[in-house]
Amino acid sequence: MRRLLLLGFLVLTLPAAAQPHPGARSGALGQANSALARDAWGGNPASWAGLERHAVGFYAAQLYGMPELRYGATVATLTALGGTVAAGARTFGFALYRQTVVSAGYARDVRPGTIRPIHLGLRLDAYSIRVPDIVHSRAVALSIGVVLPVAPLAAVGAVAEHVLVRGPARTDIPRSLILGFRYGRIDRVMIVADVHKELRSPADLRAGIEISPLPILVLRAGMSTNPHRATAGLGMRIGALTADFVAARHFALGWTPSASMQVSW
Amino acid sequence: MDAIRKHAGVVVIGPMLVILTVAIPFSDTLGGPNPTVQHLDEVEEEAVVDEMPEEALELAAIRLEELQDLLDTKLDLNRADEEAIMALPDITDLDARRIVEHRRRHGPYQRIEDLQAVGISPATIEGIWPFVTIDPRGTNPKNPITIDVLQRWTRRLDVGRGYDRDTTASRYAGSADALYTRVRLRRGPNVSVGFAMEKDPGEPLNWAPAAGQLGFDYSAVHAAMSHIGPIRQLILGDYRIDAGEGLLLGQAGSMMAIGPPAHRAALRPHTSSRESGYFRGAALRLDPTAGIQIATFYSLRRIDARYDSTDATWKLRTSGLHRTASELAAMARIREVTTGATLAVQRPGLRFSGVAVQTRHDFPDAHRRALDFSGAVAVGGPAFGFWGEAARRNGAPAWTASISATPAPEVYFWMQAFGTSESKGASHSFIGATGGRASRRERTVRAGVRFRPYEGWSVRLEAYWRRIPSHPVLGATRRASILVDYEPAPWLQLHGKIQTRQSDRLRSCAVSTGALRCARTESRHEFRIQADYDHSRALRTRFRIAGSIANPSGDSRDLMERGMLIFQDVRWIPLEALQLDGRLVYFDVSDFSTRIAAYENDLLYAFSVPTFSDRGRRAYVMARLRLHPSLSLQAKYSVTVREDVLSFGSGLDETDGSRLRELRIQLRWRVQ
Repeated sequence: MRRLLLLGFLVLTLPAAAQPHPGARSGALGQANSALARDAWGGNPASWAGLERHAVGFYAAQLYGMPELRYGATVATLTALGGTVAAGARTFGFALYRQTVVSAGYARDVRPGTIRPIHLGLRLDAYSIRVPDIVHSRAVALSIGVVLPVAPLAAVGAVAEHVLVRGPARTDIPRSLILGFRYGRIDRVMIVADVHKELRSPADLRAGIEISPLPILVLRAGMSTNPHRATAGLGMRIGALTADFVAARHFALGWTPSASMQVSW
Repeated sequence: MDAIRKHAGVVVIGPMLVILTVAIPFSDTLGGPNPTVQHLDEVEEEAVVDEMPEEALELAAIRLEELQDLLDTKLDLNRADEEAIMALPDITDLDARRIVEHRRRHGPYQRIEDLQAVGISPATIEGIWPFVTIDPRGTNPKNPITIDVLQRWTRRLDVGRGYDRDTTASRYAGSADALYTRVRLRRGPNVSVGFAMEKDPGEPLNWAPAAGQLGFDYSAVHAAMSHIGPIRQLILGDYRIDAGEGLLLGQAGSMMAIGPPAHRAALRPHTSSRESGYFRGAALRLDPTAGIQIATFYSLRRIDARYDSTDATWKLRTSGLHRTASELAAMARIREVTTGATLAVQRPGLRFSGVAVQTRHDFPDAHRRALDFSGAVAVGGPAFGFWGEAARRNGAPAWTASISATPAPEVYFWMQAFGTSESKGASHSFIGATGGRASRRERTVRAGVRFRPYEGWSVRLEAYWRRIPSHPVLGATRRASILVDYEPAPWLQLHGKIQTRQSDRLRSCAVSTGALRCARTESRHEFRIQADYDHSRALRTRFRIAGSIANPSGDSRDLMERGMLIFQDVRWIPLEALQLDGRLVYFDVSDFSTRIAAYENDLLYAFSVPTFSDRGRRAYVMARLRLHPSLSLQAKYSVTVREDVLSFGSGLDETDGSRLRELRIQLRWRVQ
């Protein structure tokens, strides 16, 4: 019975809005990731631009502590073709509902007469949604993003997530416009804020803060308004290895622990 | 009609913008070279349109066309007369008089900053700088010949059922294409010849010269000359007249929304695509002595009218649409003959004008005559002004009064009251704020103040009250708004707006004793924040977040409706001859009560203010390409996708599907 209820919950709500973007760092910042730069997880595909090293990352989460809502993802980025080429995959759900996404993207810096480089990126997501013996539908979605440094310590970002969607499952794919802001130094204190508007959901205001008290330690906290959620996490950088942890508290559904690890070379 | 594109009921929300506010990109200081602005939206056209009240939208099209002409031609402040100077944004008739008076006493202006000597604020000077030029010698210009040819084609790629091929059903008579052609030839500022033709979507192109139909259902032709001996101005063909406060000739009540109070005395060729609100015939203006202007005019037009059998009267039609059998049947049904005269007297600090207009309508079965007249006065000095006009129009009295004051530098206050009485019918297709319609009893009061508290800041507070006592549903409407603009640096502009509006509505209330009339109060609140950032001369980005909350039922706070709009906009100039604009809009609006409008870039001489009242996305890309120094091409492609709908629109405009695409192309050849 519990599984049936979960299935209904998943089909009706989670595909649209509740899945976090992979990456414990952006999760700890309340998912306010549109203005982040040089982030391998590519919440904004433009944040892949400017990455100077190849990277591989892994992510795992258990939404609201429920084993049926496990979420895993991986990403790889390569500096190539004058920019960054990225590929990734993520999977979510359990035996009665499985959503799998395979992604590929490209990002690069451009300077259209500007002093500071502008980061542009796009990502193609291939969705597969399977409910055994009931439905198996697919869709392909294109997302585009830009991060615009506007001052030495400030940047704005915009993401048109899934701006073009094709395929039978297109109605299940969330389509969002995200506008965000970042201010501060990544190696000291940085704040981020996003307005996330998914077409069928009320606007979600997201904000986060990242503090680096030690070169190897990063503390983070964040919040979002729709759903009401508070997040806290930490990250560690040891040589080529970066590990991030986050615990997100949904005010109705409970805790979501997640972690990601990234290796770059 | 094409100047104002109606997207499923375009309505512009927002308060009245009393002052046309323009800003020059990249102008750190005044006194440099004249800004090389070619298109009005480069000087913040949206500052005019985005805040325009609904009733003034059509006038905004004409006003913006005048401003674009000024951008093209540049007004020489050392040669222009008061009337021409008054056309500049933010310049009142008293300002214009001071500018001319100072020039007469002290000689030609040497620099634009010299205008500060006559009390024009630096902000106003900055606003008019793109539109003017200064020849310090004040010499006669060469009067070059200018040829300006413009061709526009637009079409919705997803059309309504009125364009179905099924000939058994009711349908539009013509194609979905819209065409606009304009040709103008000028010799200096004194001679102008031109014509304009337009076909709206759905209208047929009928070629029947014998019947006076030359393809297009609407055409406007003019030949205008000025400063020829004692003749100040002569126009043959189609023309418009503004006089006084616009109560009789002009559009009082709306005019305030697109400019400061002003005593107008303008005679202009009609070149707009607006198919009503103009005269056809001859107009002559003489200035027999200094300070006295006399104009007389004669007009003969065939205008649209529909016979209303319910009250056995003819109703004038001013929409200009001739698409369906009933609209075509109403086309040019009656003859309208207008004769009139205006007299204006100017003295230092005082202007007076009088207008008399006699109209005769020849219906198929009857004739009707009407005499309308008005008197207007304007008095004031550098820091204070009063404008007033009283009229008899449509057989009923009407009046307007305005004051403005500049109590301190960078502080501008204005207030206007406007009143009309109920009339039985419209005496003319042009006269009155609601041309072609009978007047209703109405009282309107508007007031506002604009000030600049600190460097880079501009604040506008505005209030509005209107009451229509005789209306069966509408009660009093109250509106208040605050607009704040902050420009911390030339490359960053921030804009915020909050507006609240309350409207009383009458409705039937079912009670135990039966249905009674009772009142409810609808409320509506809006906010908007916007940021513009110039990354370089080649790249500008803009984002906006707008929201609205409404209580359309006026009953319970639990029934509040909500709307939100968010867009990201980018302008990129990759080449000197190419400019690209693009925007992605997401909107999620409950219903019409929470509708949100957003100005967007469009072709030259056109603007677009789509209104969003449902859920979906809209995107457009627009390119402006200068193919040759005298030849430019503009193209715009837009697509709107609505969620959860099978069709949208209504009647013959009902379109299947959730997507609406449109393509607009314009070619302009301008040689000088």
